[in-house]
Amino acid sequence: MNEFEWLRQLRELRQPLPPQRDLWAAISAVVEERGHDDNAASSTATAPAPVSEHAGRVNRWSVACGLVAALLLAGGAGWQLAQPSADVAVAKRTPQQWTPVDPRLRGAAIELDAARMELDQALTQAPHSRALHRLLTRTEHQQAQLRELTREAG
Amino acid sequence: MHVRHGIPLLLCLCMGQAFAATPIQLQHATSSAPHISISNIAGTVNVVGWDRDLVEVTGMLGAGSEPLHITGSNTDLAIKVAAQGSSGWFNWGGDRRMAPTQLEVRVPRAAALTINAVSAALVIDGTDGGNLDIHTISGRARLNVRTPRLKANSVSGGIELAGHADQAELQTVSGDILAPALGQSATLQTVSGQIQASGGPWRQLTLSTVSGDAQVRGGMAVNGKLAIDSMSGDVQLLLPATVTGTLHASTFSGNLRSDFGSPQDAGHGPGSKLDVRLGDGHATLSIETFSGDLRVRKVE
Repeated sequence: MNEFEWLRQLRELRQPLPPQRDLWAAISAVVEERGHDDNAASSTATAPAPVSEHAGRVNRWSVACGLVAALLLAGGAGWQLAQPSADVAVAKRTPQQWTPVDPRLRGAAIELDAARMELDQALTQAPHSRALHRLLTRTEHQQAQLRELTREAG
Repeated sequence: MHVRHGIPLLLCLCMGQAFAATPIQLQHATSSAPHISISNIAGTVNVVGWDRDLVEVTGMLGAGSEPLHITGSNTDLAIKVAAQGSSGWFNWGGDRRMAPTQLEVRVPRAAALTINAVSAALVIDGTDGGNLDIHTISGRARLNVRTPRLKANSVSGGIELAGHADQAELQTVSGDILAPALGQSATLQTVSGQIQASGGPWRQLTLSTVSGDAQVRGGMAVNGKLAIDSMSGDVQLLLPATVTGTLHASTFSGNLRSDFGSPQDAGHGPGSKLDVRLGDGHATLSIETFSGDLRVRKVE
């Protein structure tokens, strides 16, 4: 699933969704029941039982496994960060952003550059889309026209 | 004492003179269907077609402009507003020092026009029969004309066509395109502007948008070709119930709905497509979006 798909699904989530039944009665009942249990537990509290040798071994194993898992997770995250992301790859392909001196053209240059980068990103998702290739060609043509306009402006 | 008070007063008067606009009153005889080229940088350009073989220019010339003249011959004329001492046909350094110019131009009804209106708002009203070639950057163009061929290119200004163009080529970066009376052939292109167009029956319609939404209405000519490409812009195509030909519509991750046939979801992942044969016509309709929603509607 790509970001455009996420955006589309987010757009569809804009509708208000009422619950199918009133949930509050069940919530209230659970809250009340837990309140009763806590009171009963505090009134019958006793000294903790001594931890058996077997239970201690299990605890030590659990701690060791947890540590190994945390190390693996940290290592994986580090490796992931070290890899260039798709965005960075697209940005690297993009030539240095061109900014016209004339402020009347500056906004269009930014807009065209952003559109071209979005099309590049979309093409990583759908590399065989002829429509995207045509749009990219036309956008690059418009960029060339804008550069020509800047040259004509003197 | 009098001299001391008089000098600032004189300076103010001189500065007022320097920044004052100059009334324009120019005329030039023409043929019945001349080519006229008009350039302005800021302000307005109002062009009106009339039934005389004469070009008349009135309005106010902004301070800081070169003196205005009509140049050329009876068949090919030019009216160009330029900043004093500027290079290029528009120049940000020179243009900033020039006040806006209001141009009111009357032209023979059948004149062909080439207009460069950088930031100036452009209105053309009542021309009939001549080709139009229009370039603006941020100025809006409103055209109430009948023309065999219209080419309009804008950066951020909108293009509104209230008249009729047999062939239209309209392009913007972020400006909107509104063209409710196109002819049989049109090429419409934007990056982020909205497009709303009607016309046809289409012999050829090509529309492309990167992120702007588009709505197109019209029937198809016998062997007509319609092609719409969009990345994230939503597309709505309104077709008459009698349309015939082959319709192909697809979206990579958008939502596709159609009153003609039933779209099929992709086997794996998002997206859907529609391939349907409508009657026995030979027109081809092809619409493709990446993430934009796509709707094909049947209208009476």
